Amino acid sequence: MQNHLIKTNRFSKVLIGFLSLGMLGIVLITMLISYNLIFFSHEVAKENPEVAYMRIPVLIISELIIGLFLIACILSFGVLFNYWKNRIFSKSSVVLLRIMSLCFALIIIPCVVLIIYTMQNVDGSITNLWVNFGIVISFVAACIFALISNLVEQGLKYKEENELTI
Amino acid sequence: MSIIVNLDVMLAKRKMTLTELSEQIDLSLNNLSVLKTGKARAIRFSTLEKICEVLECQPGDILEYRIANQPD
Repeated sequence: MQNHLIKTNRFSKVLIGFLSLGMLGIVLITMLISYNLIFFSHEVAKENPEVAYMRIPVLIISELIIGLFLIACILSFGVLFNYWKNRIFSKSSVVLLRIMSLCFALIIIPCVVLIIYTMQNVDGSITNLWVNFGIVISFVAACIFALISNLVEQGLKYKEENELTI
Repeated sequence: MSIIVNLDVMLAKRKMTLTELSEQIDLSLNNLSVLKTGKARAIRFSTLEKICEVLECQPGDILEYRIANQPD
């Protein structure tokens, strides 16, 4: 039984290692996208001078979306670290997961603003299709993280109950 | 909480320290301290049995029910 537990633990640690590497990659790629978005916006504005006035507002909204996503990604390291240290059922994990859920939920607001702004200024923009897709993903992610945080909170209560049973 | 743990009273009656009790019932001092200070949420029958055996008392000597707002 104990060997089985040790193996599971080792497997978890390998999984956390892979997840951390993956998250690090995602964070780096997102930061790179965020940086390149400024140059990309210049190019788009040059190619489409009729909508060049939209560059700054759309850029701000896009950077806001990326920023919220980055915050959620960076917070995931805290959760993974807690998991690594066998402290997943802790208040800090619950708080981190709640903030991550909130970040994904907040992403919906700039996405909706972007859709409204684009609809008012451009006819038949394909961008809105991608933004709609982003809203759906953000909503699902927010729900999943809220569910996980509730699950961890319940687990924390059971853990405390168990620890205080003498 | 309405359930009061009178472990300290029983220990004083038996002239025994918490450390001695923890050694005899094979329970950590930390856990016994949690029980003594009334921070415990529950107590296992096995733990209660060991305590009663060592302190030569009844569960009622260790646990007491007191109405929540009743003054001491």
